[in-house]
Formats: sequence, C-alpha cells, structure tokens
Amino acid sequence: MMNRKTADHANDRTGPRSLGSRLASLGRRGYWQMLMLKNTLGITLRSLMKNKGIFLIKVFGLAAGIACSMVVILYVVNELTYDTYHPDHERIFRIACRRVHDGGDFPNASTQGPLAAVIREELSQAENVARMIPPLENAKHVLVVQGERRFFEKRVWFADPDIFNILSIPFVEGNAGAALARPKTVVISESTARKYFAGLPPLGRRLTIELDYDTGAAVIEDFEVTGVVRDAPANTHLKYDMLLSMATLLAYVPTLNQDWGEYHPKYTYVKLRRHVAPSAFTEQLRPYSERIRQAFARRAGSAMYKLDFSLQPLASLHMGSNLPDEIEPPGNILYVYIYSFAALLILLIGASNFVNLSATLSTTRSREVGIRKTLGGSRGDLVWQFLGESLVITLFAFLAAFAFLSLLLRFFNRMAGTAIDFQALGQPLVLAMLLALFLLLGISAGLYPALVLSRFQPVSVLKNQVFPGMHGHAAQRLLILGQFAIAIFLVVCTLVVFRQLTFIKGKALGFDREQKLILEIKSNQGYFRRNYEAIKSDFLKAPGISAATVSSTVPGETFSGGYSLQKGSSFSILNSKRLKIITVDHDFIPTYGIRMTAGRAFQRASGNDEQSAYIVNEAGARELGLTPERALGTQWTAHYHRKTKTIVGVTADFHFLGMKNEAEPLILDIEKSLLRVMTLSLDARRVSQALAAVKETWRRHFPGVPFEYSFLDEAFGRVYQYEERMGRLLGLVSGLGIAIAFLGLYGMIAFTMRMRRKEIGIRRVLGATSAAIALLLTRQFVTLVFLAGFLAVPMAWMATTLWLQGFAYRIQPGFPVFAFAFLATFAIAMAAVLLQALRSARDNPVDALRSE
Amino acid sequence: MIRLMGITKYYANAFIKTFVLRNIDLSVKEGEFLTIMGPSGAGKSTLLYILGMLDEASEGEYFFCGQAVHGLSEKKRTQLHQQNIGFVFQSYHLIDELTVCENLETPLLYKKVKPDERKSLVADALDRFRIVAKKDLFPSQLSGGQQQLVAVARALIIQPKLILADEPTGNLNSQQGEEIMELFRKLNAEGTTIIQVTHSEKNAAYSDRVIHLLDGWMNNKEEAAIPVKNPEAGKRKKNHSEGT
Ligand SMILES: Nc1ncnc2c1ncn2[C@@H]1O[C@H](COP(=O)(O)OP(=O)(O)OP(=O)(O)O)[C@@H](O)[C@H]1O
Ligand SMILES: [Mg+2]
Repeated sequence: MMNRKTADHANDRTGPRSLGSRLASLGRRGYWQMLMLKNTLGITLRSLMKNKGIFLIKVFGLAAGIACSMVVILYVVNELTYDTYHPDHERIFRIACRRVHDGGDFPNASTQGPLAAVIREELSQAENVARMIPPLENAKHVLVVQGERRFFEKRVWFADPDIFNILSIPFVEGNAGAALARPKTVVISESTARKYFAGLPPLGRRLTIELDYDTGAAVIEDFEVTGVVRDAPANTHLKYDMLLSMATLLAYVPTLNQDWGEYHPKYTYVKLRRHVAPSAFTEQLRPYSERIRQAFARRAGSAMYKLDFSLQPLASLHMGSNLPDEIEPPGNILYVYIYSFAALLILLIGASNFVNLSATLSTTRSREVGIRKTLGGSRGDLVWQFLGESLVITLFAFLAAFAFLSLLLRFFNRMAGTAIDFQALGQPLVLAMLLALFLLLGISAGLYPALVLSRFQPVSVLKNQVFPGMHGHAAQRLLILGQFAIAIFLVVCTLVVFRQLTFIKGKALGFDREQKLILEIKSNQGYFRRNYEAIKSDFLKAPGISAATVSSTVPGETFSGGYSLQKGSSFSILNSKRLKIITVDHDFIPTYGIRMTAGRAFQRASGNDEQSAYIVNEAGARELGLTPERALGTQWTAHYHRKTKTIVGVTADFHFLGMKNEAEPLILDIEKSLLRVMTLSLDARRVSQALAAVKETWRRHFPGVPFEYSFLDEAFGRVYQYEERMGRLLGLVSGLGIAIAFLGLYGMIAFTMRMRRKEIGIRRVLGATSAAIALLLTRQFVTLVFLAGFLAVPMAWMATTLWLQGFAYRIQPGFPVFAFAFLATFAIAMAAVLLQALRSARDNPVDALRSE
Repeated sequence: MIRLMGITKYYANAFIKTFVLRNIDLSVKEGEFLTIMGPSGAGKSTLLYILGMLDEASEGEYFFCGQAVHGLSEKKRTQLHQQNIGFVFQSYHLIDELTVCENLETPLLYKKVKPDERKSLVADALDRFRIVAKKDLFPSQLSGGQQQLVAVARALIIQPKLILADEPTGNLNSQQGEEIMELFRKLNAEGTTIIQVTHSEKNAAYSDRVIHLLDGWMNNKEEAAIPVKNPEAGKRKKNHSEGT
C-alpha cells in the first residue's frame, strides 16, 4: 500500500505527464477494461435475458432506424458521388451549347458533330476530346441479334476511341487503344457479353446490330467484338452496354465532322490539361462559336443571334444539369432531402427509444452499482462498464441492421427504381459515418447509467434509499414526447401524400385510358410511317380490337417536341409562338375520347386534313392569344415543315402527363414524320384472344422484331411514380415509426408496472378500483401524447403545404386529416397503456404483495 | 491502525440537522476484533460505512494506517479501500447476475490483479470455503448460509487488513451464524483486524472489545465491562429487541 501511495505522489509531482506515459496508461486502462468486460458482459447478457422483451424492442427499434439510414446513406452517396470515380474528374467536362435565334432560346446538353474535331486539332489546352453519339433514329431500341438471341438494347453508343482516355471504362479483355479503331467493331460490357455469349470467349465473335442512320431504312450489320469492359456503375450519368466505333457512323454519315447544322444529339466530353481554367478554355472556343453561328445562319436561312458553349463539370451533371436531351433524367435534390429527412426521423425514433429503454432498464442496476463500489470499483470503472455494455448492445443493433439491410435495400431499389448495392458501404466516408453513428448511439444510450448510476453513493444504495425510476424521468418523458411527435408528423405526411395522390388520380384527365394496348415501333420506322394506314387496318381485323390510331406520343410519356408557329401563310421566326406537338392520324381524337370544345375533329370526309388542318387544345388557343371560337379558321405556318394550315377544331384540355401540372398548350397535326406509337382499343372480354391475333399481325409487318406491348393504364401509372414512391416510403417509415414508438412505450410501461407492482397491490388492498389505478397509470402518458400532437401537427401542416405547392391541383389538408392522424396515433399509444394498466389492475393484489 | 477523532455525522435539510453520530473518538489496533453494539437506528451501520470509506463524516478526522482519510480524493480513497478493506453484509449483497466464481473475482478485477494470480486466488478461496462445487451457481441457487459464506469469501479474497461486517449473521440460523463467527475468530487469529456490528451478545463475545452506540453517542465506559474473548458469554439468550 505504501509503495502505491508514493508512486501516486510521484506522479502528481511530475506535473503534466508525457504523451508516452499517457498512452501507456491508456493502454493499461484498455487492458483492464478488456478483463472487466468479460465480467460485465456476463451481467449484460444475463440482465438482458431477464428483460428479453424490452431488449428485443430496443434492439429492433434501433436496428430498423439504422438500416433505414444506411439505405438512405447509400442512396445519398450514390446520388452525390455521380461520376466522381473517374480519375481527374475535376478536369473532365461535358460541353453544352446554347443557341438563341428567332425561334427562341435553345440550350441543349449536346453539341454539333464537328466541335470535337475542331478541339482536337486546334485547341492545345484540351488533353483529350471524344464524342458519345446515340444511334441516330432508334436510340433507345437497338435490335441486337446473336444466333437465337435477339434483344432490344438501350444503352448503345457510337464512341470516339479517345473516350477511354477521358472516362474510366476499364477493359477486361481487349485493348483500349485499338478496340474502336476500325469500322464495325463493338466493345461490350461484361454483362452484355454473358447475355449474348454465355461464357464463350467474346473477343472476335460477331453481333448483328440493326441501326437506322436517319435514312429511313434500317441497316443490319455484323459487328466484331473487340473488347469487353466492366459494367457501368450505378453512379454515372453515362451508362453503356455497347460502344460502337465512330468509324462505323462516319461511313454512313460522312459529313459528321463537317456539318454544323445536323440536329441529332452528340455529346462532347473534353479533358483539359492540368492547370487550364475552364473559363480560359471557353474563351478559346468563342471564335469558333462565332464561325459556326455564321455558318449555321447561312445554312438555315435564318438569323442566329447567339451561340455559346459552356463546360459542365462531369461530377455536376447528375444533380446540376437539367437541359433538353439529358442522357439520364437528372437527379432530384428534393428527394435526396426528403429521403434523408425521413431516415433521420426514423433513426431519431429508434435511437430515442433505445436511449429511453436503456435508461429505464438501468434503474434496476443501482444495487449492483452499490455492491461494486463496496468491492472497490471506482466511479471510472463503472462509467466504463456501462459505456462498454451500451456499446456492445449497440453493436448487436448494428449487426441486426446489417441483416435488415439487404431486405430493405432490395425493397428500396424496387421502389425508387435505383440499382444501389452494398459496395458504397466500403467507402471510407460511409464507414466513418457509420462509426460515428455507432459511437454516438452507444455513448448516448450508456450516458445515463454511466453518469447517473455511477455517482450513486454505495451507502444510499445499500440502505435502499434509491428508488428505481426516480431519476431521469423528465428526460424520459421528453424522449417519449419526441417519439410520438415524430410519429404523428409522419402519419400526417403520409396521409396527405396519399390523399393528394388519390385526389389527382381521381380528377378527370380529359381522355380515356382504359383498355388501350400500346405498340411502340422501335424498328423499321420508315416502313411504318409510309404504310401506317394499311398496317392499322390489318390490326383492326384482329378480334377484339375496336379502334386503332397512331401518334408521336401516348399518355404518360414526357416529350419535348414543339412547333414554332407564325400566324398567316408565310413563316418568319419573328413573333412565332411555340406549342408542343403531338402528330396524329384521323382516328386519334375519337380513339382517346377527347372532347371537342369548338369546331370539329380531323375527318377523312373533309378531304384534305393532312395538308390543311390543325387542331389545338384550349390551352393552346390561349397560348396563341385566342378564345376557342376565335381560333377556328385562323391560319398558321409551322417552322418544322413550313406548311400553312387552318385550325379546324379546339379540344378540351387533356392531361397526358397527369394532373401534377396544368394542361400544356398543344397542337395536333397529321404529320407522318414523327409517328412512332400505335394505340389499339381492346375489348375487355377478349384480351388474350386479341393479344394472340395482334402478335400474329405484328409478325407479318415487322418480321424479326420482338413483339413488345404495354397497357396504357399501367404505363400511365408511372406518371406519378416519384410521388407514389415517396408515398410508399413515407408509409413504410411512418409504419415503422409508430411500431417502434408503440413498442417502446409498451415496454417502458410494462417495466414500470413491474417495478410498481407492490405499490399497486397496496393501493388495491387499500381499496382503489381498477379504473382508478388505470387512470393513475395512464394520466401521464395521455398528457404526453396530447402534447406530441400539438407539437407535430403544425410542423406537419407546414411540411405538407410546402410539398403541395408543387401541384397545380391540390387538396387543402384540413382538420380531418390532422385529427385522424392524431387520433390514430393516440389510439395506438392508449392501447399500449391500457393493455398494461388493465392487466395490472386485474392482478390479484395479494399475489403482488406476497411475491416481494 | 484506525484512529477516529471527533467524528460527527449529520443529515441536514433546510431547517434541521439530524445527528446520527456525535463526536466519536475511537482507535482500533491492528489485529483487534471489535464489536459495535446498540439499538436500531443508533448509527452503527453509519459508523461502519465511514470506517469502510463508503461514506464520509460531516466533521472529525479519520486516520487509516497513519493516512488522513478525510483529506483524500475520492479516487485515492477508493484505492485505499480497494486494497485494504473487505465488507460483509447482513443481506449478503452478492451480484445476482454473476456466478459464485465471478462474484469472487470482481474485487480482484477492480484491484487489477493479474489474470493468473487472480485464478489461483479464486481457486484458493473456493477450496478454503469448501464451495468448489458451487462455483458456477448463481446466488439465487444457494441457501442463505452459503450465500453469506460466498460473501465472506469475497470479502477475504483481496486479503484485506480490515474486515467490516454489518450484522453478518442477521439472516442466518444459529448454526450457520456460529460457523461464520468461528471463521472470523480464525481470521482474527491470523492477524486480520475485524470490526463487526451485531445485536447478538453471543457474537459480541467473540470479540476483544465492544463499544456501544446510543443515539449517535459512543458509550466508552462499558468497554471494560465486557469480558474479553469469552465464548461462554455468547451462550446467553439473545436479549436485544428490534425497533426504536
Ligand atoms: N440519508 C439519511 N437522511 C437522514 N437520516 C438518515 C439517513 N440515513 C440514515 N439516517 C438515520 O441515521 C440513523 C442511523 O442509521 P443506521 O443505519 O446507522 O442505524 P443502525 O444503528 O445501523 O440501525 P439498525 O440496527 O437498524 O441497522 C437512523 O436514525 C436513520 O434514520
Ligand atoms: Mg444497520
């Protein structure tokens, strides 16, 4: 003992200790903590077993919260790290252009074909430049055949070989330098290789690919596989399955490198040399854009006021760029926020539940604290013990969360239409976040016992002067309040989202979408456009098909094409008005059941509607500055085909893109060149028979083209997919939230009851009625849930009002929604309380007293 | 070994001070066996806790082996207590969730005894108290006497200089009680200082000296009147009464 004492004094005298000795003492401390852990872990596990129910509730709640937030972390990381995996991505840019001329202001994600050639030859500040060009006509549906296997491919590009020097597209087989040098060579992704060659070595094998080079006729050719690359990850805006050599395209479109006026999208990627400022490079491009502007003006015969090129940083494209002709629908930061917020809320519920129940349970440990102190345990020892225990339990929750995760991730991917995998979990940032979360939760759950219990004087504990559940009550009430406030908030949000969805879905769309079969013509479009009347009448012969029409778009598809219109019979782009265009045939309006407000629909009987008639919708008439009646008979010339036609009818507004927005100004025109979809009206009673016959007819007209169809109401359902996803996510989150809050409350009350069993017994003996006891036990919680409601409802009102602003037609979430959400949550909480109260009130008081 | 000078303990609230111990002067020599007696509420346990450094006196000085306990920090006090003092309680105070074996090793862990040494100490204690067969049982699976035996074994395992026992036989039948007292006598003979609180004259008779507490006052006059180490005295009927 004396030795020890002197040693301590020596320590005190040396003043601030050196880092070495600090570390050594920390190490020693760690060693002893490890030894202690075995002892205390025994306790942890056994006391858990004593309170299995509460333990499970605790861990389940936290695990659910953690799993939700991990999924969202993965989602957010995926969204925010788009294209950051390319080495030197800070130096890589996509070039966007903006044209201003009489027709309007046209920014675009793509550029002209020759730009890349100019940069490569004349601008030394670019280290590399390469184009990615989607196949010209049938960009989204390239038919690929290999023996018996034939599929439509969507992610097909013509690529300049230099793309491999700009983007990270690692080769598994073949050689990046040579792979795309010759015409008719193709580099495919690993999964594509598996799909077509099923394990055979793909290099040197052939794929038959059908392409349409804007000549109106499809060309079918054999491509040699010269390379296999890794699959594109989920977080790139430029996903690919097949890269065709640019030389192939050049053979068909020889003017590719010279023609500045050709309008198909061509995406140009440039990698600048080190230390070249993007602005300096844009400056260098300016003289070229001036040259191009003049050339374009000459060619198009109209004035072009402005042509700008701008550099878009690669990593900013997904979240930051929403130009016409984007390759992928851009990410929506709103959903990143909403999903993060929802995950944060569920994590908060789970964590506060965890902390709360930990504190509740720990009150049973005060006796142990007293004993340990009499056995020589210091306060520090006990603090470490409780923190250690809490970390161990948190670890359980994390392990459970990982088990949950795969399930949840699959659900999320299906729901959000993403392809996120676990890989991102390995990223240092994510790992650091998880570790921080782990420590934060473990420590905050252990904090109450660590700080409060460890301070107990052994004497008072041994003298039974500490009553379990006395401490921390205010904090615990606050936590329960928080949990229920969040739960009510989530329920209100979910209800509002679903009510809004039901509302807009129930509103009249202005067209008929039942029993419509959609056939998209992805191949042989030229044949289709020339012969659509004959093809239609063939399909009409099929049993169960009552009507057929062809058009450039169908409900549920976003489309951006429009006509610039000039009043009168000559076209000058000055003062033109722009309406979105749907090209149709004579049968479109009756087949879709669109109502006419004024004038007439297209009629074959009237002779020459193809050449002389337009129809607009009411919004379109408004856009032209006319009432429906006055619009009739007015003449307009379209920039697109320079034809002058007369408005013969005005339709009521119809919402092809759902009721999120007001009806768009539209013009309908019978114009072959844009037709690509056929709609067939089906007899509901003969669907399978009709389908078989339709397939037969398809075979005859489009031999070798896979028969793919969809039903309009299904396809149209996707119009609200973002809102529906969010609704489902909110539903899941609020369901989980309520479940956790309910279980937490239930567990806590069950525990309190057990601790107060004797008191309740005595009260009963003294004559209290069951009702009086139930009231005694529930009063506190009733107040809490009420308070939670008062907190949550205004916040939910604000959040949902904000969200509803995004809709042209929206509900007014009123008293009923809030009252319902509140009452539902309240009822659930009361169920937890009453179940317990009744049970303990029914207990025979004598049993309770005897058991002590 | 122990010297108390003017130890006073009171609980104060806004208006009144409740005195539990008043101006206690006491010294205990190394190897002594001391009994504290007195009616319920007299302050016996309080005095014992102060001696055991679990509680602090409101006033007065306490020297343990020449070291001023009243001036030590909590950390130092814990160390002093952890190295030197073993406790035995009337209600055993074993940790319910730990086995006999784990209960025994807990004080060694706090004392930071090396694992191999710890194992041999635990094995020795199990042997010595003949509870080897019980080593993996939990307290609830033992009889009261067995639990107290474990509690004593646990108090002794750190080889304390001082054992403090608060009514160690209070919950035991007379035969179990005697066993414990015999054990104390043996330990005392081996040189351990023992201070016990008891209501039983019989148990008091095992000790060298008895002090009496009454309402917090120590009655020193009676010290001499008690026969020293006279087991016969223990055979007299218990004559204390509970309650105040
Ligand atoms: N925290 C406290 N506040 C006020 N008074 C207290 C407190 N703790 C103990 N006391 C009082 O101190 C007095 C002495 O208590 P102590 O436990 O030391 O008595 P005791 O002699 O051991 O009695 P018993 O024989 O019943 O064990 C009692 O009157 C008790 O009411
Ligand atoms: Mg006592």
